[in-house]
Amino acid sequence: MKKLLERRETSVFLILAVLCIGLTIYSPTFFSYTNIKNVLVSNTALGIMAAGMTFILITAGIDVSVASQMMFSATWLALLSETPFGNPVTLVLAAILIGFVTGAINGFLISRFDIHPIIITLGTNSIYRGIILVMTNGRWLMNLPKYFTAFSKTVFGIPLPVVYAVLIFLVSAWLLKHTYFGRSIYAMGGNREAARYAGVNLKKTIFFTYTYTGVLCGLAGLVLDSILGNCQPSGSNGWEMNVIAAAVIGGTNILGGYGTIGGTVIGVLMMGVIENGLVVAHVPTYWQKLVYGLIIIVTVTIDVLRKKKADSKKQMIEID
Amino acid sequence: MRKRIALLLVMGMCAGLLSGCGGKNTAQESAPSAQEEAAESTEEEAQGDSEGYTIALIPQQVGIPYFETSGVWGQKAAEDLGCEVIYTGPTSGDAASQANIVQDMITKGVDCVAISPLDASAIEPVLEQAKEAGILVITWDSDVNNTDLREVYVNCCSEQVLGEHLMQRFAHYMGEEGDYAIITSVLTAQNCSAWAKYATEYQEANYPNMNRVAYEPCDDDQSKAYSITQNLMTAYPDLKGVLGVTTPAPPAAAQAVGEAGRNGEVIVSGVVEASAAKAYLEDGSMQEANIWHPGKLGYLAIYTAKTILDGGSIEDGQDVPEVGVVEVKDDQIIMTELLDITLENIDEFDF
Amino acid sequence: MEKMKKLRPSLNGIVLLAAFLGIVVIGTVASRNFLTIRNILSIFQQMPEMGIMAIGLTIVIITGGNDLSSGTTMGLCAVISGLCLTSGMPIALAVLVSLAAAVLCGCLNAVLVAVIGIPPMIATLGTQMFFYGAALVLSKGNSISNIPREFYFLGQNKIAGIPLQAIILVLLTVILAVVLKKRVFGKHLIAIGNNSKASAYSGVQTERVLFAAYIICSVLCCIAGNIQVSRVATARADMGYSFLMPCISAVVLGGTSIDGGIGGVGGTVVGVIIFAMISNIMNLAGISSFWQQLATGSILILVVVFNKITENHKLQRRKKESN
Repeated sequence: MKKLLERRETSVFLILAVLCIGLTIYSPTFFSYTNIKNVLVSNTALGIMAAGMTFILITAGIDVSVASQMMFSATWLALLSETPFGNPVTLVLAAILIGFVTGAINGFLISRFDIHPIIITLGTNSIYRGIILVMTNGRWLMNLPKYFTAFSKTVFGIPLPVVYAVLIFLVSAWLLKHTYFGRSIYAMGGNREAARYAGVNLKKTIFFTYTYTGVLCGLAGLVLDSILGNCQPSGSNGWEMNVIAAAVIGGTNILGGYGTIGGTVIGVLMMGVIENGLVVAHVPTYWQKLVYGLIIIVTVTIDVLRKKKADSKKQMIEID
Repeated sequence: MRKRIALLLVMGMCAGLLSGCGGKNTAQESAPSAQEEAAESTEEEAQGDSEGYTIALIPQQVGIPYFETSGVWGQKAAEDLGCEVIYTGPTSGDAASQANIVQDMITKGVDCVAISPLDASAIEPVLEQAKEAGILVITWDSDVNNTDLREVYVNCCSEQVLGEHLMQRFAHYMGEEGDYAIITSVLTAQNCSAWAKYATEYQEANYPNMNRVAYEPCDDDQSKAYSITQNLMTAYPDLKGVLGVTTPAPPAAAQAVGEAGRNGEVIVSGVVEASAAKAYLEDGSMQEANIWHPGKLGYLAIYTAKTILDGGSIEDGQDVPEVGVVEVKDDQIIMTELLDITLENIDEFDF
Repeated sequence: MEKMKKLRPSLNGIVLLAAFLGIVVIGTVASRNFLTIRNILSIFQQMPEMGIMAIGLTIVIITGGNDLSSGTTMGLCAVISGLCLTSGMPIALAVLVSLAAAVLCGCLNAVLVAVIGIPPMIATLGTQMFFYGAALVLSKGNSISNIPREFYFLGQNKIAGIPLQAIILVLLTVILAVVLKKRVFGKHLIAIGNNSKASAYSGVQTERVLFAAYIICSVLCCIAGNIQVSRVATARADMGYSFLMPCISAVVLGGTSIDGGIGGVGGTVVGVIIFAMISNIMNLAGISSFWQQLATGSILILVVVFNKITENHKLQRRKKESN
């Protein structure tokens, strides 16, 4: 119990709980099946990308191209569905393949040349986005076929996108906790040099991390398209910051070495609930961005202050 | 070995730059639109002697279907009339970068700048420069505050007319009563804000039983417009309608309404192209799309520019090819009536 | 141009210079209008806003930090200055009010980063939205026009044919370059970037230096905001919003390490000029704006990768020699 309280995720979870309770009291519809379903479904793409971002942040890296990678995949998939080759199987395969390629390019450039990931991904961010805009001339790809939107059906009251997200979270958590790959990631983020001496292949680990995130972005593109039923290549601009914020709010250390998928899920829910809550709580339009920023600042501040306190306690114990 | 790699990279870099800058061939392969062809021909024109005029057609933002349609029709007008059209604009809704583009067009020495200003005042200093440089300035789609700076304004309809018309049609489906919400693009978008403002004012004056409960921005992002509509339906259980004053909003709102199984209970209408509205009109989640033909507007802008450059003028009631009869009021050339696109007439529209 | 000389002949400097010259050559070939005085002047009228913001960002990045709120700080200051100007306040006072707001913005960032200890990326991500929200609340999303004509001098005047804002940019760059190289404060900035703990132990007042860094960055954003308000005779909340990513790219392109500890403002300005030239060339050649994104991304990666390769090459040679 005490251990649970000490975890970084706990404070964010408590803030989230307080927010939810407050919103429910203010507007009971907040806690309705439809609203919960809506919050979950509209944040699946964000959540899937945030799972990948958690891996990257743990290695002390960063990827600001995730939104572009997602739209890159979403656009190609929408184009594919306009051709006779489009069917559910090819869509999934293509989503994985496209994500693999975009992620592998990031991973290759970062690991091969040992350049700070923010630089490489800043560059690929504009390249991926530029390619799809040049290709489509900004045209929206409307009316995706039925088999495409079927990916986001609701079965037995459970929306499928949420199922995909949960599956991806489980796989990611397993990868992080129970595989050599996952342990290498933590080791690398904790102390790069030490990890290297311990025999971790840094280049390989980095390459895999970014490629895995790329694949998740590819799948996020598929989910996003199927939810919306059409594709807007210029859309979801600036989502990369939401993805990073979600992971960090969930307790992942942006300087590397710490982070869990569970925490990230809480972070994603936090972002989703704030967005939803701002409207549900009837916050005046012009104040929404301000309140949004404020909540993030406060959440992170509480988190950091708690950690500081815990750290100083630990130090005192060590001295004793 | 390393040196050779380095050399290769330098060459690669230069090739990259060249293909980036002069990337007309690849562009034509991947997107064989009239726009890229124009990029090529203007390049030639910039080097050799020119026949005919060069007209810069500057939208508020590229990458939005509405303006892309104007661009394509603008190029069509260029072919028909034997002049060059450069269609280029900012990639984001940044007013200053549109000013930069106008300045670059002045440097390029175009004969006419036909612009849809992102901001009615931010563009004025550079338009002054254009005028000083002897370049014909016309506005289309949106106007500038200081109307002395431009020769004519090629107008579809004023912000007030559109705002009020949107509300009339919307109220008709709403049964002139109930709660409604407006979804706009970003809070800083001047034209969308104005449409929303006039629509609301018209409702307040004419439909006392209607009540605007929310005014939300969707950042011109369909997925955000989609979740906002869902949130609105949660926040306001009695919500009876969503009016979208930016093109990504109505389809996304209709998608959300359709998914909630509330087709017809929650009215969706607003500014959107026929092609984007079609599926939603057909399944009943959207009631009507109100817009003018953005392509014809682009065509008319180029036609007007060419006529004025030739020393002529557009007359009231003139039948402009491809566009139809236009109305001329003072220094405004007004295109046509608004199009009310519904399930019945959707197949008549090609944009 | 005169800045090129000031760059020490480092590897990065040479690569940057090569890229710069390469783009000038391409521009000259692509459009006969490129290498004209008129066009060069118009580039120098357009780019100083981004340049000033980018050198401010450089200072923060050198300390190992980052300021994602710089773009929206610019928008907030622009709105505040615009509101003051249209309310009939004297110009000097209006600019002062916006500068005061910028100092507050910088202080807020510094408190979050230096005092509370939130990682800069996250702290400034929060303040980014907060400042943008504040600008929206103040302006109600409207663009503020009717800026008094007397204020136009800042962004539309020329002194001896050179746009005033370009002169401001050069002055600020020179001042900051001198501070970074010759002053104790500059050395402290770099020391913090290299190793914040070690520098604290060796007597650097880390908190105070970080406060100064974030305030300098915000104040420069405010100056950039005021220049843009003057240049386009309008104030909008979204001003500078789209500057953030290009600015970070320019800082990196200019040779400043994103981890801090290495860098300078001269390279940043060259980086901004390179990006400005790319979009200028494309506009002159009539190429769709979409290609600009592709080109800027490619150049960033190519230059950085090329830098790294030559650097590794040099390192290896040195190793061989020492063996």
